Amino acid sequence: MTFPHLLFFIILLPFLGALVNAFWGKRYLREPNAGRVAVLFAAGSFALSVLAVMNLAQMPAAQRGVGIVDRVYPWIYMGRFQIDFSLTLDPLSAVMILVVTGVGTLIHIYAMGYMHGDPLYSRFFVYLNLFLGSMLVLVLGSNFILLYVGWELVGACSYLLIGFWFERVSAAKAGMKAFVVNRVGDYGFAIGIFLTFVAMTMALPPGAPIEMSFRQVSEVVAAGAVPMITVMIICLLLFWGATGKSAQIPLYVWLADAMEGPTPVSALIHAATMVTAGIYMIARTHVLFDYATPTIGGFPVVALIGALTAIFAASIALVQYDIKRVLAYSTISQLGYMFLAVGVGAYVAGIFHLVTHAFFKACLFLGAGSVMHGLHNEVDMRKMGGLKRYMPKTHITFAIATVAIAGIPPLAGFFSKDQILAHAFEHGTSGKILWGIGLVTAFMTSFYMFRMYFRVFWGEPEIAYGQAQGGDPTVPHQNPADHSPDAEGHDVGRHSEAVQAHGHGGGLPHESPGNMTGVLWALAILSVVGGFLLGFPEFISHATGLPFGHLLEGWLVPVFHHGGQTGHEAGHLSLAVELLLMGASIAAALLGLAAAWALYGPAKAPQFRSAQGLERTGFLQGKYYIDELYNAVIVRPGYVLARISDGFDRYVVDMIVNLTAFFVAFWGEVFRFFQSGYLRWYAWGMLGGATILLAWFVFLS
Amino acid sequence: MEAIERMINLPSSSFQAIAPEIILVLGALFILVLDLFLTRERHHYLQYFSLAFIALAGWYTAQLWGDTGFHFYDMIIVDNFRLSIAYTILIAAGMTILMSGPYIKREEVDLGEYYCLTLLATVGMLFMAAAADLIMIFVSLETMSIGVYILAAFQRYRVASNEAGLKYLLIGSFATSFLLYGIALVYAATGHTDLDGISRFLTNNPPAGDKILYAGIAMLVVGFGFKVAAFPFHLWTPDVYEGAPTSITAFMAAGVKVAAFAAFARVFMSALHPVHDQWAPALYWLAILTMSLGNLVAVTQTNIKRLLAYSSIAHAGYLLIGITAGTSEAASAMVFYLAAYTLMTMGVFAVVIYLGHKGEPNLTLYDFAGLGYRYPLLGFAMVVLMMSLAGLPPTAGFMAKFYLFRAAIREDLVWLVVIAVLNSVVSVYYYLGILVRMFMNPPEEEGRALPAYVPVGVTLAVSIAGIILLGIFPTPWIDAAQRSVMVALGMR
Repeated sequence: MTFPHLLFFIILLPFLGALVNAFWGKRYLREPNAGRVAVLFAAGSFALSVLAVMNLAQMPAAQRGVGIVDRVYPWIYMGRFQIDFSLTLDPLSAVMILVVTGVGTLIHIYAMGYMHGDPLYSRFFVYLNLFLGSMLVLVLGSNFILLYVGWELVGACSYLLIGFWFERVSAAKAGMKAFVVNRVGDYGFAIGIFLTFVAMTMALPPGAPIEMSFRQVSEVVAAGAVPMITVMIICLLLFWGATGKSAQIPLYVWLADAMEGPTPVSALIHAATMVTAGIYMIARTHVLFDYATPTIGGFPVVALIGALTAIFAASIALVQYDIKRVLAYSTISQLGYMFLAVGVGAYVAGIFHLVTHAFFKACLFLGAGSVMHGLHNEVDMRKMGGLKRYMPKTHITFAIATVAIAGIPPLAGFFSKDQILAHAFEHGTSGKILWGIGLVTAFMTSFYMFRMYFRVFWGEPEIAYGQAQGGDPTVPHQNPADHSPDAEGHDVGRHSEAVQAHGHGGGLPHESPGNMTGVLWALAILSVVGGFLLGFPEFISHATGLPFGHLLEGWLVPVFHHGGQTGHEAGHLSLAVELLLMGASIAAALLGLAAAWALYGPAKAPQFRSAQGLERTGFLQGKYYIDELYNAVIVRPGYVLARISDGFDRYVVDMIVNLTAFFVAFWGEVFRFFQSGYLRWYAWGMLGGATILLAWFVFLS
Repeated sequence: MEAIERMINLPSSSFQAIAPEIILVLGALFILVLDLFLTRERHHYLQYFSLAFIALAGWYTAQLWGDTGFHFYDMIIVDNFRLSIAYTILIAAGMTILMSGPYIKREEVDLGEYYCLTLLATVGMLFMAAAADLIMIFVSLETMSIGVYILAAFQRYRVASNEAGLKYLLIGSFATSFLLYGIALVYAATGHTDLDGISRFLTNNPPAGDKILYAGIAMLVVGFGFKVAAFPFHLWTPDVYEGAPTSITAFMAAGVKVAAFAAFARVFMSALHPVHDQWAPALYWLAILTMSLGNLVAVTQTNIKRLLAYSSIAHAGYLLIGITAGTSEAASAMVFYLAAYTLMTMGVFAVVIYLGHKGEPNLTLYDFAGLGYRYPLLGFAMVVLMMSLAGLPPTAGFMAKFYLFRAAIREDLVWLVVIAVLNSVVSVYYYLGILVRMFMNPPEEEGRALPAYVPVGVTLAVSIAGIILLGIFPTPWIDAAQRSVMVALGMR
């Protein structure tokens, strides 16, 4: 079943939901109806997405590569520059819209419980729906321009949602930081698009319309009409943009601070969807990256940055106390994996990890949110412990997601991560090094995740519950290494006040309401089955005859079939090597689990003395002091420049402006003087004008 | 006798060519008679009937769309330029009547003659757009003016209104004499009063140094300059706009100006086109002075109606650019501009009616303080209107300026456009100044509920919708405007 503009309706519904809540949410709908409306529109979008993807699945594979195109209307037509407002559903965007609307809807439902009692309840859902629509524009847009529009819109929504509790200075600052850092990335991205346009004007025959669609650009580049070096520069610029949005070195610094936003936002925007936009964009323009892969010293730049970010962020995550921060650095690290994958041409593996990561990371974030919900917004894991007694549902789902991200089979994270590592391994000599980095990261991932899991759910809290909650001044500030001003005071403010006003204060942790835990279960189940249902390794099914296959691979083949490297090269490795690599991944994960058990296992609780040396490592605890470095090198000089500009604006520009204004006012007064109200003056004025005109015409002609 | 016979033998298509005007004349008479049979409580029927006649006239205008030809011995022209101007005039008249209902009731001048005179003045305007002969232009201009003179003075008990009517009449007569003299001189120089004849004569006999012709042209500029309120023939405008009933001020600012510009454009851009190079420099300076004066003085105004009067002078200055450029592209841009200008003028005066009190104590800018939050819908409407008047996207005002300036640029009038753009910058100051007062200043007095003027609200809504529609999807309308000019006879 289909109908005209089906794709357009997919993006329209969330925007409509935002509009409804913006106009009527606060005054008429209120809680919980505002949330219900938002969920309804998100779910409607999901239903339409499923419908559209089913239509796509029924098409023959050859046609599927082109996909369903919905040309909504001609958008910007200026000479050769002819941009349509046009949406494309091909297998790649199909995966994306299912993740975005599916996980998005679940998080909408969760947020109904989480945001309970917030005075700006309906506004939150306005933003959330707005984000959903923007993200859909990003993944469904057929051309660079529409992708850019979506890219900026999600950035704006991210800003609004990080700073949602704007009374808190740290939240407002974090929002600004995210926005500014993203701007740096967007700058590169925009230049990349401009350069693509210029390249198109030169590559296309004169007079041919420049649509800037991915199809057109890919075809032109694949035909070799654009010089190799130009394509390489374009790729670098696009990747620059991706490092901003997807939080990679050197622009990753905003993501950890973005945790100031409400937790559903962290789950939806800063883990499952928006931050993966960079990976999506590179997969979308893979023809360019395949054609001219930018490299440094034999390393593909994208993969190298991805691998370095992965290990770098993972090492920071090892020692953090703030549970949301651990998850934030974990997200940066996992995004690094995805870049590693797309960097070595393993697009399917990258997208596969994107999907499974959306499941388990959303589950982890929402689980953390549930913990905070039960603990009056406590995020410090030192004040937690033994929560499995109080929050059994949250505990089980969190445990499942932890196993999934750690890469222990047969859960989702294992399959996707293993495939990325395998693809890295077969990528020449440089690939072996990348594989090594990835493997160490896998160990770290397992370690920090189980560390958090044990500290939060097992053992006992350092301070018993009910004694010192909510930043009691008698508790000394624990963390001398942590200088960053934004690390303190998480999730206090409006939200916590509202929660406490609702009467479940009193000290002891409690389980979250059903709409929250229900979502946790749904995501936990996806984290279990998502892996082997979507991407069971081909070589195992070949060897054993199991009925599973790599579903995603088959589905995405029409998108990635051109170009030399696809995901197929997994077949190049022998069965023995494949098994060996798989064994190494499993070993790294289990080793991480064992190390975490040794240091933080229930036997060691509650004081974890043996681990304190590691945790106090200044360099790690201080996050390598990158924020401080940026502050000194970029922010401070920026201030100086801003002061100078301010002075110039104040004393030079303003003076000119004021002089102009004086001029205007002066002449206004002069003319006003002649407006006396006396008729004879008016007649004289006319006569004077007529005389001058007459003289002009008679004597000058 | 022969003349009567010729009249009788006129083809019926000739009468069809003026069917909209005939309908409105009959409608005006019908209103006059109906007024006698209606009690005071049922006076609003007059409004409904007037609107119905205007709608009927509009429908007949639509029937004529696409026709071309001369009628009544080259007195009347049918072409799409006339018809698109006629639409604009009918929209202005319709919106005037729509918002007049509650207004004249509040001001206690709810008389049948009001609608009758409005319809008759509209007839004059339509004929101005349809006129193909200088004599016809003069007669229709008088038909229009006399109606408007009376309407300006319609609030008999109010001194300001009487003053406005009298001033308009006296200065208007003065200006009309210039126009008539101009017509006489042009006739003396060319031997023609029909526009096509003048054009043909000037093409065939290039008038090297014909002083009589140029004196005539100068006089015509004075006459038209008065009606469109160009510098220095604008002096009456603020006084009359301030004193006249607000609905009539809107009618003058939109309808009269549209009709006058239509005739102005037709005379100068078709009949006098062969001598374009001779008159263009004068209009170039007239445009600069008019828009600069309008904008500069508007900055110093505090009374909203006077401010709008100067704003209308400034817009006349922009429109003069179109005539100066003198191409068919400029003419189509003027058609678009006049439509956009009509919509925003009507909308902004509807707001003034909303906010006014009985007897029209001076409505100043201070009265706008804080209104944006007290009446959010009205605030939104004002945002759209002011942005459009200032020429900011995505409104009709922006597209109108864009097309007009582009036409001028194509004629190498770059400096004229630069000055016009600078003028637009000045205008942003006082247009947005109103918004600043509405949204950033606290209200001065205790709030009162807005009067429930449904027809005024409808006028405002139509104007806002039109402004946004023309601003976002200008292509079909500018296409229609371009087609309308290309069909126009004798216009290049």
